[in-house]
Amino acid sequence: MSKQAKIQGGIVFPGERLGVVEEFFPGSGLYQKNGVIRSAELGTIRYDPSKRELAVSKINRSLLLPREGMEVYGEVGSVMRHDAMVDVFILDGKLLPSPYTGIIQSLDGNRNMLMEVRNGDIVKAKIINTKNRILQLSIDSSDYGVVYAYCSKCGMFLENHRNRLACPRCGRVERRKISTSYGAEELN
Amino acid sequence: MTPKKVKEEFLRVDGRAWDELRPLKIESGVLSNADGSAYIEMGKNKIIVGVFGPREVHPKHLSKPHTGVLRCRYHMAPFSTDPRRSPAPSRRDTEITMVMRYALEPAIFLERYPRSSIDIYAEVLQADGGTRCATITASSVALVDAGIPMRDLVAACSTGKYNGRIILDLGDYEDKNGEADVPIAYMPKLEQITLLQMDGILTAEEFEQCISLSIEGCKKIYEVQREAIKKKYVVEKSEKEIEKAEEFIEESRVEDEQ
Repeated sequence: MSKQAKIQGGIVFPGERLGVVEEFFPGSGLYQKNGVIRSAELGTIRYDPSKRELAVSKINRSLLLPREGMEVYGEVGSVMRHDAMVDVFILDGKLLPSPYTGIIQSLDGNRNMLMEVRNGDIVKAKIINTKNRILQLSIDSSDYGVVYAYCSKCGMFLENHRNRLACPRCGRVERRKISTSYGAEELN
Repeated sequence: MTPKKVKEEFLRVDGRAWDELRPLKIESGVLSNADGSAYIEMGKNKIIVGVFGPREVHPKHLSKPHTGVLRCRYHMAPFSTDPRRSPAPSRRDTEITMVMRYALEPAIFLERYPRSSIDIYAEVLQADGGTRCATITASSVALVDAGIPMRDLVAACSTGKYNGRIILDLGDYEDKNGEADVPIAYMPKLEQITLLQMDGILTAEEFEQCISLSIEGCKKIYEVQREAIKKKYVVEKSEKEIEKAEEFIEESRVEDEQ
């Protein structure tokens, strides 16, 4: 059996020596140090003969980290004229064990965030930047925006009537930047 | 005098040979709410470790733009020692917290997680000497359980001098009444020492002896760590796959040496 065929599917632990850089290209789940390729993960070895690439696909817990372009859900915290803070609790469809903090900003300064979101609303947004300490989020597309909103007078869930949110209990009408999926999202 | 003879003649307070570890048991994935966890029993030491992250750093000013931060907490439960100890963090707790961080940091790819933190919480439920080493050993298993990429596992054990002899894995009595204590953390595959402390007085030869004995001890502990991880993640049918990979690794090593 060839060396390449042998390694396919084998299970390795972090730190295990798998070869040298002259033999393989290190793919994901690997690292190289002093010309030696080692596993960085607990996982199974995958070898791609066409690329001569070695990789380790992990078998333990996969990490969930925010990346640009990911869809998130969060609860709106404090809202000011030009920005609103959001506690992101769902990242890429998965519930986070601990929330990330995000911010929705009026980048051109012309928008009034107080008219778009309110404290306690659940918003659907997209990550546009992860390079700062807090995630920068955007609700610009029609898909994004508030998905659940509550009446600021009585706390009842607001119903969508022709893009205007009305409270079924007290009749108050409020404005938000709502998502096309307002009220229809299932959040676990 | 050959080591074998020493082994026969010299028995320690607890009846162990000079180069014998205490009975060691490690279990991974014991806490349901932690991202990764481990429980270790090393002799009478009982320690539970939980790992959280990578996650957002709180307070935010501690986050670093170019790397992640590793935060540790070593704490001894009030009932872990006799007599009862205060639950407030002591000078010793603060030191071991720092030592743990220094021992584990070289093994983690923190630079892959900028603006994030990895938090390790270790609680000593019962202490009997060598808790810092046992904590580092368990933390490393918990980190793998949490799915955090690592350069290698870190195994730790102590050696020391008691009644003029160099012994492995000191218990509480030997630690308190002995002449010296050398805890070491070691990455077995990379063959690197990540922690080295010394308490007491040793000659240069004795110190070297301690190091080589510790490394032997760490290699034995490493095998137990692997077993603990295998037990959780690798089902029986994969045993063959492990053998296959080990065979390949050995083959590749031999080839490289040639």
